[in-house]
Amino acid sequence: MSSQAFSPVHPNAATSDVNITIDTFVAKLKRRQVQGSYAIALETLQLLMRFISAARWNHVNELIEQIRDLGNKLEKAHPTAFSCGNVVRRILAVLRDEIEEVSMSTTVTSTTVAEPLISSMFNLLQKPEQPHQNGKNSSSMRTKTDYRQVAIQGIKDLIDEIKNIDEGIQQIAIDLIHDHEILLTPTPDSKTVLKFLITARERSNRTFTVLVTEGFPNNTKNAHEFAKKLAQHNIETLVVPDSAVFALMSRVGKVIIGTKAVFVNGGTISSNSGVSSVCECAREFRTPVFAVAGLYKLSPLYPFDVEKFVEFGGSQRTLPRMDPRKRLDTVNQITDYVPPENIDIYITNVGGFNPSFIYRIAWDNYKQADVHLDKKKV
Amino acid sequence: MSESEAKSGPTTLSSKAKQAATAATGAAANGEKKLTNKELKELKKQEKAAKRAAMKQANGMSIEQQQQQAQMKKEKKQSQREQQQKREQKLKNASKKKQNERSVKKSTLFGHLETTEERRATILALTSAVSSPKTSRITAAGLMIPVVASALSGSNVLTASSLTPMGSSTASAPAAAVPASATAPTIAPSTVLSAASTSTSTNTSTAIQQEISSSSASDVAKTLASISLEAGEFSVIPGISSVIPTVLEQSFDSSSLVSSVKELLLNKDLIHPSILLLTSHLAHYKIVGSIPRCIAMLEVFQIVIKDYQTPKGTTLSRNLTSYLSHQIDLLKKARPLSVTMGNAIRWLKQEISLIDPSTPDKAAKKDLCEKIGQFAKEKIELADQLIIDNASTQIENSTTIVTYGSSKVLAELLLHNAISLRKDIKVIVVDSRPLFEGRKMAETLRNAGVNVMYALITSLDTIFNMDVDYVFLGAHSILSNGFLYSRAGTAMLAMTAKRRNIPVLVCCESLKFSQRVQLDSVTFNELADPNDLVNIDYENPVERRGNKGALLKQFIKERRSEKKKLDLENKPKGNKTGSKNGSVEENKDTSNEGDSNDKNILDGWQELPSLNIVNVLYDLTPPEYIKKVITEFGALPPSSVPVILREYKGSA
Repeated sequence: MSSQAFSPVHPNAATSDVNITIDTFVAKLKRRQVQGSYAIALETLQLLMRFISAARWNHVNELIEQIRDLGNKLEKAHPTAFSCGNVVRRILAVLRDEIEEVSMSTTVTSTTVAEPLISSMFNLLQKPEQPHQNGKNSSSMRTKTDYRQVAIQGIKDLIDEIKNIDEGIQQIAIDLIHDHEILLTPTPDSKTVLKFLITARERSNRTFTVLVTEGFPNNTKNAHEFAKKLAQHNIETLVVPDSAVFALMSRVGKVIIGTKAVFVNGGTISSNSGVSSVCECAREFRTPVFAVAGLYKLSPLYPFDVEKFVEFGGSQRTLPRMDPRKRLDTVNQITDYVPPENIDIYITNVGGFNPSFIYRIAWDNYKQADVHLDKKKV
Repeated sequence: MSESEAKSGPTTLSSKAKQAATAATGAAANGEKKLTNKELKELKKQEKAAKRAAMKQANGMSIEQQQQQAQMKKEKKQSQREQQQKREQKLKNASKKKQNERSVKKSTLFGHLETTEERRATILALTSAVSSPKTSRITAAGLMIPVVASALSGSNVLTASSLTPMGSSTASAPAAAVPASATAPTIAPSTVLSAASTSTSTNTSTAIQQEISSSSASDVAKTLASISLEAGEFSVIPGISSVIPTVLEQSFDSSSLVSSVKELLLNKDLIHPSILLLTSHLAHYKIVGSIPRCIAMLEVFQIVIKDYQTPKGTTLSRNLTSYLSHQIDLLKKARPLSVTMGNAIRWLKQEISLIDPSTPDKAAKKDLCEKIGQFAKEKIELADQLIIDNASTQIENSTTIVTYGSSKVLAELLLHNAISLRKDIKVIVVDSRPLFEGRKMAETLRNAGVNVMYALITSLDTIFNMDVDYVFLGAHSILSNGFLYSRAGTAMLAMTAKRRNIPVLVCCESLKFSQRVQLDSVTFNELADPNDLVNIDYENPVERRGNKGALLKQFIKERRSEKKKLDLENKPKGNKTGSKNGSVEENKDTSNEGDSNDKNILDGWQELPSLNIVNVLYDLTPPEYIKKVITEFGALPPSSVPVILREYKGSA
């Protein structure tokens, strides 16, 4: 996948300029220079905005194809940066909704719901109505500029949403903890968790204790910074080694985890290794686990193959340099998959949901057609 | 006081101080001793006052009235000043109290457990009292400068040495010692300047002078000042050198600890040097693992018994037990005794009580030593052999085994199977911070040619997604309700295995069986040094960075801040050059502190009142996670532990 795929189609200067931006972003993703799903999501949206403003198309389906190509390219660059693909899919869904609306307004008799998944079982046996192409031709000239506007408005809305996600989460999550509760968080790199804890302390004036696991070896720095920040905000904080989680779990009231991606089955990828063990411990002790996730972290993918979604790092962080003749095998897991049965509740900016209900929220925001960006539309 | 002076303008500074000091004498009398420009100012003041008086007189006020008014004003001011001083004193006391509360860091969950700092303080106090007074040395626990106070040995030799690496003469932080309250009368700061040649501390000052030959007389004065300063501040436990950082000092706030230390100090002559050595080895985690600790203890006991002389009027069988108890009291201070040690001690005491009082001492001692050797062989070596034989039947060809941390029996078992029995096994060693014991284990196995994989406990998910056949665990102890008390992290591993239906086997000598029952890991545990978790190289986290220097660093820091305080207090009295030096030094200090601060994020965590670090050593694995326990009596379910304890009570 290279920029050449785009350049023959759009030879003008504006698109080549965009292509350079795309290439630099792809390179950044490949080198893992953009860290954190929040930053990745925002940067992807900015890129998408430039891309759409520079894009040329004859029919709106062409635009969708172009965006899909871009999304595919970005996903290939960093397969485990889910938020990147998620926001692209969100924008695609916005466009598709618009198309549907336009087609509905142009065809007088269209009453069917285009999304068979959400529709009830009564019209399961009905013949799905074909999108009317005839009305398009008359209105395509009128709506062409509209779609760019719609897409860009969608991107702006999404950026707003992502930036204000913590507010929504905090309001729901604060009601879930009581005074003098002991909380444990194995994901100290999550900004959402940090902000939530600080607001719970300062705005709602709750006193509670937070246990922070170290997340050795990849996340210890974050954990220490996290603990220090909490302590500076006058929150009773305990740094505990990863091995002591079981020992302390009997005292923990709730486990809070941050997420990197939430899949339709209700499972989640966390950006820190060891989280699945912590959640398993919590399950064993019947300690509630709640995950905080912005809506943009919901992914329409299904984790059939967990190994594909979990990221592994270099060995230099687990073992010291040693005699080459006496080498050891080692694993350095960077992210972790938490199965849905180990999570009690998801707190998103639109409300709290059971893991089994997450698929519904996902299909509110995505279209079935966009699940696999690498598949060409048939 | 110094704060208030710093706040008020520099011109009125000294006069204010003097006024405060000599409240009765008038302002005019004060003025005479002033430096020239101060005198000028005073004169000007007087002039102004005269002018004002003239004005008032012109307004129609008599001189007496004026004087009365002035007197009243003066009194008012005086009372105001006193009040302010009182307030400041209160504040200072409050802050000091706060500091005390803060520095004795106890986490909310583990407040009932003894912290490493407390243990270390005790050990430091003891060893400094017991070891020879002539040497000062730096141990892993911090700097140790032994001070022998008269209360203990009758001599008032005081040793001190310069510690700070900085070359400047003022920077040499004196290792101030707490003078024993019996001999050295506390030297008031006001007499310090002349104290170098007078008073009872002649001995001490010369000693100091010999030590810090480069420093000038004024430094000696400062040294002495700091001595007296500390004497006033800290509760004096005779024989404790005050080079223990204040954090440790403050551990002595609890009266129970002080009394236990005092008790130990009383019996310090009874303590055998080899016990002292063992104590320090244990305290610094040089000997770890319940079996190695037990073996080391038994070996030392052999030496102790060999050297033991029965005092007149008692018999060996009666007195040796109490003599050993003193030794054990000290050993307990290093770390809580392991279950194996406790069991061995119980056995030994029983053996001693069984000795016929009529047997001659020599024969009895020899007999005991032999019995100890036999015990170690029977209970540990042969038991291990039996365990290995039994467990080997579990291991087939091409099995994958997960272990956690390091265990002596397990290492032998795996080596035996892989090397002697030539089974094709794969071992996954799971490890955790901060001890990284698994590295040692992995290295031993790898060096012998076993197929080893190393992983950290955070990657448990991946490990158990591989084809794992068995989980083999070592134990610190198995409690009588079937719970396994072992290195922190074991329980998590056992739980993960259980949830995936992988059998968990525990290899454990019956010596490790304990009568105790316990329900969770929080109620009884051992706290390791929290600073172990602070030190980390974030870029290269695998390199272990010891925190050997942590206490020393802290001590130097404390010394510096104390010196700063001292400088501030000396400022009004001392000449200007001294204060200049001080300011230069302060700059240096801040730059140094800046350097050390960006090393670890959690450096200085003690200062944040709401931040705590918990480093527990053990956790408790519920019996339902354990498929079977392999002991020298055979393999049994964890519920059978009390059965073994009861059946074999006589032999264990």
